[in-house]
Amino acid sequence: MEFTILEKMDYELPFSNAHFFLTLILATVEDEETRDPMLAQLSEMVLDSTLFNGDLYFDYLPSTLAAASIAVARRALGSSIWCPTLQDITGYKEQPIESVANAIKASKAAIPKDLTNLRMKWAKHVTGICPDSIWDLY
Amino acid sequence: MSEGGANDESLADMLKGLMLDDRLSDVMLRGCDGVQVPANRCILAARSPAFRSLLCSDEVSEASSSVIEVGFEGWVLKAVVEFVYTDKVPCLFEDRLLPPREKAKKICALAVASACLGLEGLTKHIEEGSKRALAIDTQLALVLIDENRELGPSSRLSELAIGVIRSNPQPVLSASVLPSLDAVTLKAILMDSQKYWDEADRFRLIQLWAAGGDNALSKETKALVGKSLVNEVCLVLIEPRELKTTVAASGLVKQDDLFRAYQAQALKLNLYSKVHHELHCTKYDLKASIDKDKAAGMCVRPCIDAETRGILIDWLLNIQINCDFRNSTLFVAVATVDRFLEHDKIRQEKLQLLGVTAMVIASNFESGSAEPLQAEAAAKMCGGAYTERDVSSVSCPLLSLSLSLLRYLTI
Repeated sequence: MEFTILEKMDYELPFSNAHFFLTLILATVEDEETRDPMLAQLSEMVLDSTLFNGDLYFDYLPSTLAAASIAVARRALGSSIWCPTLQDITGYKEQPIESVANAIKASKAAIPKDLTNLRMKWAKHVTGICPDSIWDLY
Repeated sequence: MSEGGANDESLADMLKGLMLDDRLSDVMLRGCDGVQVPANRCILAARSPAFRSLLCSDEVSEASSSVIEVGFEGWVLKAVVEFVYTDKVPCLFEDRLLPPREKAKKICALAVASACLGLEGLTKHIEEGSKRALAIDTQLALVLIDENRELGPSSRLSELAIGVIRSNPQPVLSASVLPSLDAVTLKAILMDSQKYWDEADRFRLIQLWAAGGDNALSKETKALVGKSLVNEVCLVLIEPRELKTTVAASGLVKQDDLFRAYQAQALKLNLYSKVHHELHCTKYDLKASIDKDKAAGMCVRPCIDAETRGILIDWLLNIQINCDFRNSTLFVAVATVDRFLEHDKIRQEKLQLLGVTAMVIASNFESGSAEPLQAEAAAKMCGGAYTERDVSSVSCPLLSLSLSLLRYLTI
């Protein structure tokens, strides 16, 4: 199977996925607020939840999803949803990012209750925020 | 010119005249092919200690016949006698019309005769002439080693020929005489203590030899010999792409050996992948990457229903948690599954295999501090539904990883 997969992909692994963009944005940004490790973890949690929703995952660009995950995490931590630094380094403006963030929120119901691993993964998060409770803060 | 020089010249002329005049000869040398060469006993004895002891032996000196059997071919005897009389050797080394194999045979035959007869001067001439000829002809170097193989690589001519190959080994790979070499010669070149070839070249050498038909051995025998010689090649040091193409297609390497080489390389490269992961995230210009993302457009929806995809991703998440993989590993695995299913459906029972194999691939690049997932462990995770070979079959080795890494690093 390994060979079949790699042959089919012409030996190019899909590294440029949403997580890649998330890491890249967080590595590029220089202001302290956005470099907060807690923000990074919450953004990852939000991004994880997008994996389950095909409508979301395939209707938005990976870079847009990454930016919107940061936006959700920022708001959950009490900051503004977007900032000039993020706009400057990504080129994405606040309004479209906010609409994607809202779409992520709207899609949370798409994760079936019996799929427990996402919740298990983030159950011990230091903030006490989990994939279900983050939306109460958004 | 000095008086002595004039005398030397006249002596040489005189001796040449003596050689050309059959009436003055007192002995006939007969070669193994029946060719007879007239000569003078005293001249032969004066120049060669071997001739002296032969001519002075009771058996020969008391014989009524003046014909002496000498175990060399006629042309060798003629060349030897000419050298004995004139100190000159035939224009053998500069003969461009003579095929390399023929030339090497002649050089070797003359060298053997010279050594047997104790003609040191002739031996020196042969070495100097060979050196000149070898400097411009790699094919000659190969066949000279071949023709000299019974004397071993330590013989002077073999040493000269090997020296030529060492100084410029690449032409050997394109030499038309390569397939005609004896297996012993090929092994001597391959096993030369001075490593002047990389492993890929050593393998190619065996492959070219085994594939060529110009040899006393049958194609089947050559293939068998080639397979045994391949054991001397360190496959792990051959570039992955080469392993996947040339080596795999040659049929000279056992699938298990190929697999082990791939595996070793995959493990080796994985060490680098951990480092390159960091580079991967910093070497990109964010804006340029986002522009590229926009240009690429939306991903194609995979041919899988949302519920099944969700179950599969949940299971992959479970593997990620249990194996302590980075989040990036999960995303690469999921993206791999989605890409695979972009255009084709897969049978339901194969979905788990697709997911776990994608995880094997992703973890070998993105596992961070965790151990990458191996095919054997991956198969166990599927509760015995698949075997290790289903995940990473021998014919399609793990090292596909290395190939993708090569691309990865050259993006």
